[in-house]
Amino acid sequence: MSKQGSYWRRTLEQRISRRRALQAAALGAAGLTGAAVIGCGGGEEEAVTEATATSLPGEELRPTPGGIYVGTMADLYNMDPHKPIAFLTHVFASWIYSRLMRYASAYGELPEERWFEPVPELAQKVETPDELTYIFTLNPEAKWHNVDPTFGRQVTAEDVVFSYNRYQELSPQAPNMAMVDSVTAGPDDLTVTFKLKHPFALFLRRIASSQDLWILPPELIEADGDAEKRAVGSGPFLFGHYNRSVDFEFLKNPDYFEHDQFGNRYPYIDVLRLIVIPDPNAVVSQFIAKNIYGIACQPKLVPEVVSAVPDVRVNRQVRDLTSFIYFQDSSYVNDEGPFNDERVRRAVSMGIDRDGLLALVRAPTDNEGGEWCNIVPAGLGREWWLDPKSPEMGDAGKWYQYDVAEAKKLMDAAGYGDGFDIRLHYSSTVYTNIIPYYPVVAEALPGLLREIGINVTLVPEDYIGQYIPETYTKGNFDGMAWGLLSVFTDALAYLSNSFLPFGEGGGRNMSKVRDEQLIADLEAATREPDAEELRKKLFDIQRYISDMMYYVPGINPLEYALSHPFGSPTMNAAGPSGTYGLGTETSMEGWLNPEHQNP
Amino acid sequence: MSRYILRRLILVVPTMIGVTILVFLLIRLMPGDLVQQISGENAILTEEERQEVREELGLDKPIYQQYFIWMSEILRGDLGNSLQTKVAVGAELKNRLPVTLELGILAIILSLCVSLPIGVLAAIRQDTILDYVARSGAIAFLSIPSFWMGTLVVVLPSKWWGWAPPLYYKDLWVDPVDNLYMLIIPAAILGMLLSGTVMRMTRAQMLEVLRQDYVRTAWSKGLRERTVVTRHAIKNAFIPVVTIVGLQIPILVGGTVILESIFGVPGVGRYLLFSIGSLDYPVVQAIVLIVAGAVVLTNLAVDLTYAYLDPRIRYA
Repeated sequence: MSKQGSYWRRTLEQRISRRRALQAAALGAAGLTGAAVIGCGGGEEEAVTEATATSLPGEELRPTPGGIYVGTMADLYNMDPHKPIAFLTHVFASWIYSRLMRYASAYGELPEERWFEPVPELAQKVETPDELTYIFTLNPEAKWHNVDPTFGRQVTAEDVVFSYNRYQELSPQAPNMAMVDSVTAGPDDLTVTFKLKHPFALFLRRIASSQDLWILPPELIEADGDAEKRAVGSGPFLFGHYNRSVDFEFLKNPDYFEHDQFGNRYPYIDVLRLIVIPDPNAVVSQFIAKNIYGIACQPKLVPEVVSAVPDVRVNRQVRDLTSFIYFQDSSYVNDEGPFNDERVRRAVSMGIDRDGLLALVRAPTDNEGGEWCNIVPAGLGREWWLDPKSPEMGDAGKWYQYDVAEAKKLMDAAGYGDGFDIRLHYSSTVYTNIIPYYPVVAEALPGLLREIGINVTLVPEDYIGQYIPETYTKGNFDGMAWGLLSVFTDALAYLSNSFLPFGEGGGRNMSKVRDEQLIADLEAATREPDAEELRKKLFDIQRYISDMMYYVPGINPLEYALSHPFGSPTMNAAGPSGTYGLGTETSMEGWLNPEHQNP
Repeated sequence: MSRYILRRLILVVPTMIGVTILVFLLIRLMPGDLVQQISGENAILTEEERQEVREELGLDKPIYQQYFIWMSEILRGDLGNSLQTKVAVGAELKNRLPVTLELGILAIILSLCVSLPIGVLAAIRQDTILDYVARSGAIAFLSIPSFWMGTLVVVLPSKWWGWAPPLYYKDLWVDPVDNLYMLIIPAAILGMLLSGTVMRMTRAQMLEVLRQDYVRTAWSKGLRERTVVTRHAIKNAFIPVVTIVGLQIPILVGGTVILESIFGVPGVGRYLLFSIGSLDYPVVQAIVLIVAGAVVLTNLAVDLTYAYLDPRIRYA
């Protein structure tokens, strides 16, 4: 059986051990801002003073059910997780809906090798009689919310089939499940079988993805036509209300099917109240005033908050969010200069002082932290991320080194010794608030690239009006663009989306790179049944794309989540999480100390 | 008089039609791709899929047809549905309008409570320290942008005292104390501009009235200051002040857009701001139309009040 199979066996055998519960207790929280929800990876939690988080593993922590947790959240455009959506919809879905499997956790006590490990959610058991067949047995305790129109009905295999078909029909993410040939229910109500077209080593990981197969009740769609007006699922929280641009309220689902080792049903808290606060300064003020319990914080504001709240918990993380420079598509489609020449692209990469940029976007109190990203980001963990600084990167590693003299030589060799003028497009809105380092790096790039003869004119673009519809999703721009790649939860998804032909699985190949060898390698990786072999193949691909520099990767800086020590670290460690599945992967397992249960 | 009222009422019709055309066209001139916005940032759509979304939203029709469809719905009392949430705009406004109205009324009450007495005092104590302070205060209130003051009020107390204005709204009829606790600060800031205007106008009018012969007569009769001011001067001085308050209402409405966002007030202003950002045409059109209608009607009311107070206007 593949490595995923062993993951599964191990998880089922362990059930929920005390160790597992303590690990889980260190997960992230429900309080989040727009920034908080984009992605995640590993991180370290640190109490500025003697907070409880650091003493967690050795202590007998018992959860105290009840209470109202107050966090923050950004506005949604759409509540239907199968419709064309933005990432916040997935986050929202995670409180209400369930997946067949979910991820173990994202950070905290969880060891890096378990990041993005698929664990049971709706599925109680999975059997893989052969490489192409996955038979899921649903948890008999799993029920839909006890509200109209589902009224506590049991979740069945037919619901999974319905959801899969709807996902395939509506979701822009559907290519992520292109390996699935068929999904059938039976022979009983709790058994659903996925037949694959070809072996796929990351299938369970893909099934657990928080961006893909959310299970929805057919009667909701039959009654409303879609899932945009209300949310009824089988997840840990019932939908209370959403007042647009005001607040969200989620209520404990008393019939939720997952338990802790003490026999308590998850979730612990009674109410999850997430307030929409667009102004980052107001968010920090509310946090200092203890009106909200956890926030994602702009690095420059961290010292101020630490000074105002001495016992604040500071969680530092490197998320699975790729930052990168991409080039006008004519470079690859029409072989048009200057970026059709890999020497120029390598020069661009060597002109970027990644360590300098990391220092620029760290909290002023931190002297180190952050990573150089590949197209696969550091937040996915070293099992899948090939560190550009590591010896494993081989010769291609030199293209990541900041070396102005060498970059100039490359420019000269490519016939651009006198340099050239170019435009750099970036989003000057939205990201500014939720991903603080993005605009800072954009503004630093012209100065860096000028050193190697590239005279950059910044082109700020409105996120909604220009950047997303034209530059990012169509590649409709001239020169270069500075961007953030959509978040995925496995390395193959990052690479396939970036390098398969645009529109044929390469949904994020906005420069329209078409390298037949690379396409063949990716297709071979997609069909690789063994996870370890797949890892080797993906490392080879990362070496190759680093050598070609079709896209120039940027940085994975430290990002900061702050929390008050009001309860379990789970609830307090607000902010970046490993996936968009905050509902089950963080909020569900958090609790509040009794004295902080009623704000 | 009735002919004057009728003429003014008739003039409202072309004004409102002009407003609807402007609103309808301006929102469509905003940069951005509504189809992409509706479809989500991760959506990669083919041209056929884009066309499908356009048809679903009715955006494939010529612009004049879209306008007439919208107008016919408006005339039937249907403000349409949000493109983002599919919720009826009317239903959403029903929840949010009272909140904005409460904020606005609170702002007017607070500003009048402050500005009227200070304006009167500044006039009767002209060129004293009190007058100088009041005039400086009025200039400051007129000069300081409400969004800046709002941000300071949100940020600074948390640094100094670990306190921040509450951002969680409670309904007036459910929890009036918490409701007022939340709204009082944004209302005070919203009322600042009005306070400055009213304070200056009250002072100026009072000074003018206090120099009138009939007031001098009152003084010469040996009446006390309180009697002269309250019985003889204030009533006449307040007539144009009342008008000014009416004319300031549109400015108040504009202020709510920013302040509701800063203070988390779930009113129309915040809804408008979000809807503009998400290119939600029906919502923006409906809100701007309602606000414009309110402004037109306020102006009409002011004009009619003038006509009532000053016969020269109605016969002009």
